[in-house]
Amino acid sequence: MSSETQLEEIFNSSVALLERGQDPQMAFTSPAEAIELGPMVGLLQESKSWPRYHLSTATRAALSASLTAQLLAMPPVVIQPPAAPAPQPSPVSLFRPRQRWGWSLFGSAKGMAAALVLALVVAVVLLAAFIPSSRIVKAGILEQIGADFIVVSGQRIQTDQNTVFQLNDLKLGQPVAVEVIRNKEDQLLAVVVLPPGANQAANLPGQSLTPNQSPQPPPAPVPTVTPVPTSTSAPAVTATPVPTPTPAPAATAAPQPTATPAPPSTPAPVETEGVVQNVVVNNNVTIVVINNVQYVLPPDYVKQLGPSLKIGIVLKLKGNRRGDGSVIVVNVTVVNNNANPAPPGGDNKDDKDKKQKDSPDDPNNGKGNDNKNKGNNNGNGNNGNGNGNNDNKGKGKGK
Amino acid sequence: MQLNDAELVARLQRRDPEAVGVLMEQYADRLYNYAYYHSGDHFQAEDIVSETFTRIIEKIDGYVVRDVPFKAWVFRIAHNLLVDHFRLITKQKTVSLEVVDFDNGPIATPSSDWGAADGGAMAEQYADREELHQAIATLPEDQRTVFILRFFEGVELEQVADSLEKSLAAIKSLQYRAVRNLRRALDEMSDRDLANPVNSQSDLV
Repeated sequence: MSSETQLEEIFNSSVALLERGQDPQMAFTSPAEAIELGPMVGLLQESKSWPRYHLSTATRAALSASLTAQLLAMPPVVIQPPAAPAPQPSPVSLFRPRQRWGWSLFGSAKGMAAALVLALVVAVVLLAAFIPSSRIVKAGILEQIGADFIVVSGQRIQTDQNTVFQLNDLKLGQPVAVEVIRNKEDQLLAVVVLPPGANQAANLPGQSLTPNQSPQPPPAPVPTVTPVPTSTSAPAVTATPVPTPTPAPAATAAPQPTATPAPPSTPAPVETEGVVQNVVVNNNVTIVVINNVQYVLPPDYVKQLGPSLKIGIVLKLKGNRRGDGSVIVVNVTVVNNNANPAPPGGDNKDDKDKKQKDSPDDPNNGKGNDNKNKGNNNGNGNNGNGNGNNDNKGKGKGK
Repeated sequence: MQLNDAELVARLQRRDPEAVGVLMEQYADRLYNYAYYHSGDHFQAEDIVSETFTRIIEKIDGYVVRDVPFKAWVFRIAHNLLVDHFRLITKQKTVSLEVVDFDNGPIATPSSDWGAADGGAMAEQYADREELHQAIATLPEDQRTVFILRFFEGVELEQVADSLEKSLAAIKSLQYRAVRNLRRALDEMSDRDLANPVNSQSDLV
C-alpha cells in the first residue's frame, strides 16, 4: 500500500492527465493505487456533468447598470510617465586596481563603448545644429531700426531676440558693421551690430557686449512732448514705455542679469511699429502693449485716440531712448485702424517662441544667460526701459 | 464580445461602458456558481457576486496584469468576501458555516430563473441536488474552495494558488484531500441515512 504522500502525488498526476484529455489511470502504477484512487478520479470525471448555476437575468441587468454607472463615475486614469531611474553609481569595479576582468568587464566595456558612440552622435548633431556655418558681414549706413529688422545701406537684415547691439548710441545714419551668423540649416543664430572695423570675432553671442539692465520701476506717465501732427488723421501722442512685468513662468530659474548703470547719455532714436496686443487701463493710466512692450499713454492722448484705441490697430512709435533707459516717444501714429484682434495669448510668433523657450521643460533654460537682453538697451524700441530683462530669460543659445 | 483579460482590464481602466458587459458576461455566472456552491444560498451568492463586481470596478485602476492573472484576482476578491461573510455569520451564529440548511433547501425559493442550467447524470445519481450540495458542504472551507475553483470553474492550479495566496504544493494537497473527502461523503450518503450530516464532517478533516 502506498503512503498517503505517494497517493497524493499519483492522484495529482492523474488529474494533470485528465486535464490534458488523457487517460488519468495511466498515472497508476499498481492495482492498489487504482483501487484507492480510481473512484476519486471517477468523481472528477462525473463532476463535469454536475449542475452549473446562473445569475438571474433581473439581477444581472440591475448589476450591469449599477456597475456601468459606478465605472463612469470614477475619475479618469491619469497615466503617469515612468519615473526616471535613479542614477546608477559608477562602476567602481572598473577603476579598482588589479581587478579581475571577467565577463562583467565585457559587459561594462560594451556599455561604455555604446555610451561613447552615443555621445559622439549627439556631439555631431549638436555641432551640425549650432556651430555657425556662415557669417555674413555687412557694412554700411544704419538707415532704419524696426521691431525685428534693421536696414543697413538699403539691405534689410532680420533681427531677433539674440541680436547683439554693441553700439551704445545706435543712431540712424551711423556707419555700422553687421554680422549675421547662421548655422548649416540656415537658422539665424545671432546678429551682431558693431562699429565698423571692430573685431568681429569678439562679438559672438555669449560674449556679452551690452551691459544688461535690471528692471526699473515704471516712471510716472507724464506727457513729455506736445503732440505732433502727422499726415494721418490719427493724433500723435507721446508715450513712455514701462518695464514689462512679463508673466514669465516661475519655473524659469535663470539668474537675473547683473544690474549695471545705464550707460548712454545721448538720446538714441527709436522707431517701432506694431499691432496693439493689449490695452489696459489701471489707475487712469492707459497702457498699450506693442511687440510685448508696454507703453503708457497719457490720458490726454487716450482721449484724442478715442475709440480707435483698441486691440488690433497698428501704431507707429517714434522717440528717443533716454539715459535711464526709458524711451521718450515723440510721435505715435495710427497706421491702421482696422482692428483685427489677435487671439488671447497672441499669435505673435515671438510670443510663441518665448513661451516655448521659457517653458520649464526647456532644456535651454538657464543656459546662455549671457545673451539675455542683448540689444534691448540700444534703442531698437522693442524693449525700452529695460523691459526685456524679464522677457528674454533663458533665450540665449547657451553657446 | 470576447476579450482577453488584458484587453478587458485596459478597457475598464479607460472607462469603457461596454467593458462592464464583457466583464459580466465572462465572470458573472462563474462567480455566481462559485459563490452558490460555496454558500448554498442564492441570496448570499448574489450578494457575493454583486460585491465582487463592485470591488473589481473600484480596484481596477490599481490592478496590474503582470502581477496576478485577472481570473485569479477576481476569484481572490470573491473568496475574501466569502470568508468575511462566513466569519460574520459565525459571529452571529445564525447559520452554520459548513452546513447548508437542506431541510428548506437553498433552491427551495428561487425567485426568478435561478437554478441549474444543465442537470447532469451525477445529480440524478445522488437522488437530488441537495445531496450533492450537502456532500460539498461537508468539506472544510479551504478544501471546498479549491474543489469548486479547480473542478467547477476549471481554474488552473497556479491561479488557485494566486487566488488563495497559498503555495502550489498546498493547493495540490488541498485538492487531493477535497476529492478524497468528497468521495467518501458521497459514498456514505448513498449507504446510510443522512439524518445528521454535520457529524460526519469531523471525520473528513
